Amino acid sequence: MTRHVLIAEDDADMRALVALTLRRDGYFVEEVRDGWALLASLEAPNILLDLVITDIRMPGLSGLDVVERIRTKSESVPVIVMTAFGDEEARATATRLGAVLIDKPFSMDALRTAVCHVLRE
Amino acid sequence: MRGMRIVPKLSLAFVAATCGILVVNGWFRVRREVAFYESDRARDHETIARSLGVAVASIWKSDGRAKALETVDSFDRDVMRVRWHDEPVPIAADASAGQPITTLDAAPKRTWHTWVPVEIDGKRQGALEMIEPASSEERFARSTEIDTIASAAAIVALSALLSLALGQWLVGRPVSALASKARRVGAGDFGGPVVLPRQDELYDLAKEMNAMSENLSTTLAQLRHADRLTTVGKLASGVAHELGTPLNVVHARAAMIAHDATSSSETQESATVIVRAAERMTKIIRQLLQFARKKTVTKSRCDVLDICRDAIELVAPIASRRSARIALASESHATKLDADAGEIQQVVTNLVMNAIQAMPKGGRVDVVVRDERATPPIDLGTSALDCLSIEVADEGTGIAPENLARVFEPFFTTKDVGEGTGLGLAVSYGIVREHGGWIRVESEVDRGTRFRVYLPRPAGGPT
Repeated sequence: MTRHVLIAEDDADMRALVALTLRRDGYFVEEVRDGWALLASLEAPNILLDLVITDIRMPGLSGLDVVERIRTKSESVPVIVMTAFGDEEARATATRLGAVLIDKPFSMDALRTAVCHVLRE
Repeated sequence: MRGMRIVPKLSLAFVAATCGILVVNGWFRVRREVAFYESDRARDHETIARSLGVAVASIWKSDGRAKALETVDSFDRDVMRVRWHDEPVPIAADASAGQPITTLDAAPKRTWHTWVPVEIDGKRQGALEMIEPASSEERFARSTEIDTIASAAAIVALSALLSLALGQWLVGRPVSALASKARRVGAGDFGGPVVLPRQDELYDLAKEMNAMSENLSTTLAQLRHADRLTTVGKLASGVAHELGTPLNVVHARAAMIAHDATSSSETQESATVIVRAAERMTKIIRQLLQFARKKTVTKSRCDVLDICRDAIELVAPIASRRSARIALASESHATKLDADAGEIQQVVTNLVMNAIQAMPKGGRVDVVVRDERATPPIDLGTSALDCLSIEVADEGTGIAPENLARVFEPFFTTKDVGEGTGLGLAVSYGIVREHGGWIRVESEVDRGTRFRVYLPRPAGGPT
């Protein structure tokens, strides 16, 4: 069965890159460009998500704000947070929310490894 | 002024005390001297009366009673009345011993009254009565009083003068030096220790005050350093974040080309993305360098109003595309200032661009140049300065209160990717600081934002 991945990233090139990589690996990929769109997608009914990959700094809601909101609500969709080095506060929050961290810049192999690890493949 | 000052107050108390002492002392002195003078006069009277008695007795003995009484009459004058009384005379008991008696009668006028018994061969014949008004005693008492009052007044005046002068020298001047130092510290000027000439309590206070202001200055410097370190930390994390993403893209796209590109169109697409990412990184680095550089400003006489006009002209095409109208007004009498025209134009351009971008549906941007007297932020450390201010106000979305304090932080932005790097205001802030000025911002969400650039005029210079 095809895995459904949601990517939230405001940088178009970065978003396209991650999406392209995962599509090549056979995932079904949905892309959003800010926090509000991410929240809308997560709250939409009848969508079975297997994984969320999100940036932290985005216009509107930050990636962590969104994760915090869905974590207080319901199920435990796995989350991978793409973060920059040095943002210690964000790292702590992400860890507390049970998200997996992946530091920018990262290689596509590192991304694949993280995704496989989270989805236990 | 605020009530009475210390030195006049102390002087007044001192003079009042002196006055009290002089009044009591003068009162007793006048009384003592008058009493002394009166006893002196009484003795004189007795002496004169006695010799008169002796003379009358001797004439009586040699020339007879009639001749003696004639002599008595010859002594009788207006100033001193002399009369003869035959026995028996109204004379006090002890006068029988042949001694004169002197009394000072109070009524109806103060009068000296002396009785002298006259004896011939041991037998009392009668007595001489001498009467003299005591006018000289009254004159003496009056002049003594005047003398005492005059010297007391002189002492009071002198002591008032002396205590005022001494108080001003010992207390007034040092205290006003301390007050002016305190005022300067309050205004953020920690230099110039206050030095007092004499080693007294005020000298100790001055010493403590100097130490305090030095400590304050050190603490402030440490605070500024800590602030700079925080800024450096934020800058580093900002750089990591800003460059991390494009670097990530470059790395991964290059890896795709190297390893698993399947078609030339895919290769081409990756290469295009790489070029774009590299351009973005270059732009970030260029702005970062501009932010970090410590170029010395080259100031020359320029007209701030012209600078604003140029800046507005520069962004006019963007403004019209976004249906924003820009209005420029001057409320200043003198818009010329020594400044780096290019740099100030960059600041104004930046603020106007921000204003346009803050109004997605268009609107009005007001640029106003004013003369203003304003108090700088505490670390610029002086009291209010005469400034030329440039205000840029928009009717845009406003800045949320929690973001308002961060707008000058490097890499802080709420704009979409590609619209701003978050360095514009940080660079502007640096430029204005290099001109000795500062920027203030106030904003109301959904109502608009107002930035105001303050450029101080040189103190006492041409305006």
